[in-house]
Amino acid sequence: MRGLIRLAIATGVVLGGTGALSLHYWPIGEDAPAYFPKGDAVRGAYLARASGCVSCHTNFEEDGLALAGGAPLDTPFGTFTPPNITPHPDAGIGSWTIQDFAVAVRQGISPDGKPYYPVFTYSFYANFTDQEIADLWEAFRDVPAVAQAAEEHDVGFPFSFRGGLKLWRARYLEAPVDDALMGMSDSWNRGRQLVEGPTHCAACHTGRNLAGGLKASEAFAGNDDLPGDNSAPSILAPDLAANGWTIANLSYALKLGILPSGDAFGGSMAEVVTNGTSFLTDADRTAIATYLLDPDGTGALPAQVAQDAPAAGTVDHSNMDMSPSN
Amino acid sequence: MNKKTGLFAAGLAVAASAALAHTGATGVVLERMQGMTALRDVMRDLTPMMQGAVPYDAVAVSEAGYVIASHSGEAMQKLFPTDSLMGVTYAKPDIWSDWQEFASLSEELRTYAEALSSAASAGLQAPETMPMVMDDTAPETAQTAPTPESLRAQQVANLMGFTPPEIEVGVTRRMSTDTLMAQSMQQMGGAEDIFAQISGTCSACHAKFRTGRN
Repeated sequence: MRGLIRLAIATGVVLGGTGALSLHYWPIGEDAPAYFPKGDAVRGAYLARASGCVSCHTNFEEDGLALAGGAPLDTPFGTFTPPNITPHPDAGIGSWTIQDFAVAVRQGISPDGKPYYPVFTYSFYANFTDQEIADLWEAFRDVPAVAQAAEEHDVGFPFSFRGGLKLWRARYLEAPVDDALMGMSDSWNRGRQLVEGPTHCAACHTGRNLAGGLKASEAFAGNDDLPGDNSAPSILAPDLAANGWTIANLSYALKLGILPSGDAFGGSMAEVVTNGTSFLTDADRTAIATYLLDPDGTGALPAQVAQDAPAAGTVDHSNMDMSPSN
Repeated sequence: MNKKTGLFAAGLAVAASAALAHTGATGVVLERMQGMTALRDVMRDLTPMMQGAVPYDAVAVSEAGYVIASHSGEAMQKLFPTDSLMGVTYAKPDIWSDWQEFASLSEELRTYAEALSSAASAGLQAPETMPMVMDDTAPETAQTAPTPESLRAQQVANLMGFTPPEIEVGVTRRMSTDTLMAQSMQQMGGAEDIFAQISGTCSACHAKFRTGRN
């Protein structure tokens, strides 16, 4: 009997060990192109803002320096601290090449070939073009370098074994579906690109399974189980409409954080607005709202919305776009 | 008599609906919820005007500023006596462990609300040329048109969240609240800007000190 148990354990160890080893050596990712177009720092900075790089990698709560490491995120898998991504050669990403950067952002793989934890929302960035990567790279190189590295992640076994993430990648990693739909407006198509890609709404507004993968069947249906006791409501079009959202007031909420009731966002959405969507152009905020109220591209808004959408979404506030005041 | 009864009934209905909306809240907790509800309603009414969806009404904006001011600052702080978390409340205990921050946000709200009242007559956006202070030294920066490069550098810095080294005045973060407020007040002037500050203050406070909702 004892022998049997021993054999079972030994088999388990051998199998487990072999599995871990093969996971360790399982190659992932593809090489980045050798050549990238010339980047534009302003466009890159806008994309970095829209994609949440700035809000996640800067610890605003502690008055931290820009992109020098974000506020820790408590998750069921451990505590993750967004790293320093300033161009400091040791503490940040100063020693990276643009190819390293491209593979990290689009594929979620570090320069030493390790998969990143999906708490870094790289899957939403998979469709970034070479031009967009070059733009981002240019913007990141302008950031003042900060010599202090961020804290390491605090993650227990088995999640500390990064090889396991390769299984996760094989099962859950998918590039966003954001291709343009014929017959839909430019604004809707732009909204689709933003929502499904850079602004990664689904990262919070879609439920996750036990492995932390997004549940495709529950896309945008809300998530009550976000880090730090936060929850994200459903942003399915019928629910948005039932809660009084219109294209105009939704895009305005993304600018100033005001709900249809007059209440102001709190929780993580307040941060999303303050550190993210308030920096977008009115046109982009309207595009996001346009897409969210009709994500299937039916060309029609939910019934409640159609009647009361005022024209305010089209009012020109363009001189306010880059205001640092909000 | 009928009129009186009617009024009384209406009063009851209002009280009942307030109680319903905040089921379980009593005393000072109920009182502050009502204050917050008043703020919420003012913001709801102002929003379409700030968006330009309905015509701008300077008197209404000015009055709204007074209403907001009357529910902020000390008036708000009074409704949060130490550790008042009884019954149903959305208040976080952090309010009292970080009272200074809470108090300064409530003061900030009052300052912005008063600014909204005074700026209401100027309109949605600040007039083009309106130096707040007639000072010969101040407009120097305004007259020197920024070169496209420095403008671009400024845009990148603003979007990436840092202060460009060559620009010293006006955008330095992490100053004392008073200095910061004084500066930002000078930079704006239009009701829309001030309204944005007000909603930003609400959000910042909710994010830190309100529990259970977005």
